[in-house]
Amino acid sequence: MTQVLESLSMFPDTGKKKNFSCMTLPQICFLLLCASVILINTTRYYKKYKKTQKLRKTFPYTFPGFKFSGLADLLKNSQYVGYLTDKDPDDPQQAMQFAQAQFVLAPVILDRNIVQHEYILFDYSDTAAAWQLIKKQGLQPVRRNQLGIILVKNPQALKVFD
Amino acid sequence: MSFFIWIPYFISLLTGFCLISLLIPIKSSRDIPVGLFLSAGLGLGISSFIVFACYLIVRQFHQTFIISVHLGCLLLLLYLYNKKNLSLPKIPAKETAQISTAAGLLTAALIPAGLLGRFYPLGGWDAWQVWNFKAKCLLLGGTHWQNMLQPSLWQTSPHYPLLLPFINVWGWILQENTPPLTPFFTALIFTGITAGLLWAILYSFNLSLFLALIPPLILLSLPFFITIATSQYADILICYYMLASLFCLLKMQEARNPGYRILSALFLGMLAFCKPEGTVLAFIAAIFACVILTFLPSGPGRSISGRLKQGVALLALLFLALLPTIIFNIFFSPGNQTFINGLSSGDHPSTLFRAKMISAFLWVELKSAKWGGVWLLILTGMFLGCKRCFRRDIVLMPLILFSYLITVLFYYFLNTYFKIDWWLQVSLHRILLSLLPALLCWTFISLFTKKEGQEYIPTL
Repeated sequence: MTQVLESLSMFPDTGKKKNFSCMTLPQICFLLLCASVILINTTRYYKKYKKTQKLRKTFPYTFPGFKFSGLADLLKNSQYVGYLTDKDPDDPQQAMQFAQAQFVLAPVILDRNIVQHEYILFDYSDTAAAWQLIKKQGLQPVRRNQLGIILVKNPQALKVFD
Repeated sequence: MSFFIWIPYFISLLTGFCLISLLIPIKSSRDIPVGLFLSAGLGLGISSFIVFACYLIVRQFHQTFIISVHLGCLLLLLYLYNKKNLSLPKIPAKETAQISTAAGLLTAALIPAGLLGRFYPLGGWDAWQVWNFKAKCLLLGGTHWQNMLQPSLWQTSPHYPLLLPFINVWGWILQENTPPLTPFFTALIFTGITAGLLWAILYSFNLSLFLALIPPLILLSLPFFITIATSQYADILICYYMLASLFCLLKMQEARNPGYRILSALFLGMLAFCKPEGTVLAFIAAIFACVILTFLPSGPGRSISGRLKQGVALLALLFLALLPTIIFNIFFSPGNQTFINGLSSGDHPSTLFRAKMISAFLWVELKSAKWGGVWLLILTGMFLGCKRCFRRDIVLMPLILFSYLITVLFYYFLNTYFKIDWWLQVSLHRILLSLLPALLCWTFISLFTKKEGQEYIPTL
């Protein structure tokens, strides 16, 4: 115990007097500033932690990209899948969802250029419009997951990549 | 939690430790912690290089190949370790208590980082868009893993080197599929070893336990640092490898030990393989290290030809360590898809306004509340340290760090692909964050030590 307490000493065992008097004023000022920074930041951390914890209780962690899960078994032989949406791709929320979808579906690559691929994912806010387009283009619906993502097969795919 | 999650990390640590012990003599008990914290990062970097070698040779993920090469390397190193009859120095009881106390305090200080990080199990934006996406493609993509490097995926930065994804692939090697816990552990491990290495370096510079603990505690109490560090980005790797490289370069300059020369080269190679910023930093560090090693003799009786030989040896080692980065950039990277040379472009020229924005934003960023006064602290330290900050034995640190910052700021000016306000907002804080551990280390060394090896209590 004595050794542990000694080890916590600010000053190594050099035979010199062990107190602040062996430090210069700038060094003492600097250490006081360090102590203030640690103290302030620890308080800020605690506030941030509590705030996030409270937030998580109200709104549990969500990952919008999980909307695209449950399709891996059908896409396991594909390298690419087309992606069609009626949402604004420049909207940050949509950009985030696209990036997360890309992550969830990896190693299958999502491609906005749909004509080349055997499979196409429809991510439409208006499901009726999506079905209308699918019918009009002669695409074959393969699966629709619970979150509204429709996977269709494109019989006329150019198959440049796959 | 699966027990298997720890095994790859443990193998890497053991590999790194054997290599460190073979390369540098751990004579003093004060060098043991620094040796251990260097071992962890060195081992993980070597694992990443081995995984990359698998993709070069077998052209896809091959579990047996990767595990066999790892075990082969480990057995060879263990054989050499035993053959050399290496043993660690005896640690006096007082220092055992000091090291245990520090380890306990650092572990306790790391817990808040883990607690905050678990709120975001899949990390931040770049984690899923860049790093973990690539790790998944590498592991599950079979022979088509290179699809992730096509230019159309410019948002995933396909030109970024792959040290972090390869480490995560190694972490997943004994697991089924790609559980998100592994990238989170990688981030947490690097946060811990960065703080630990910072403490260990200062401790090896003869600072007392208490003083050496202050900088890592500053880092681990800063909410912004732990948020980015546990976001599963490569920035925490830059923090670690920058610190490790600088320490080894300082030691190499002082001791002229070939072991430190090899370690410096290895850490710079790993730094370069982290991110393009790391590549730039590694090149800057290599240039300064070669110049200082060749033209600034550190002791009497060193002939110019001897110094030249050392400089050339360092260059050769650096070339070898930079090979993964060179190979990646030549054979795999599609090149930077987000670059417009503003100096030659008529449509997107680099204007004076852009330069003004960069300088103004730097100032705004430094005084931003999110840093919790850390930059004020560092600038105060530099002001109080004055001349000692630039003394000869540590001048390499400020030379490299400031040259890097200036180069990055110039790149913001040169590359006009992105709107400067948006770009600075999303990236400058991460550049500054990666400099933080090294700058804290430099400030504390210059304020609280005289020439390296002498006791720290100042008689200024």
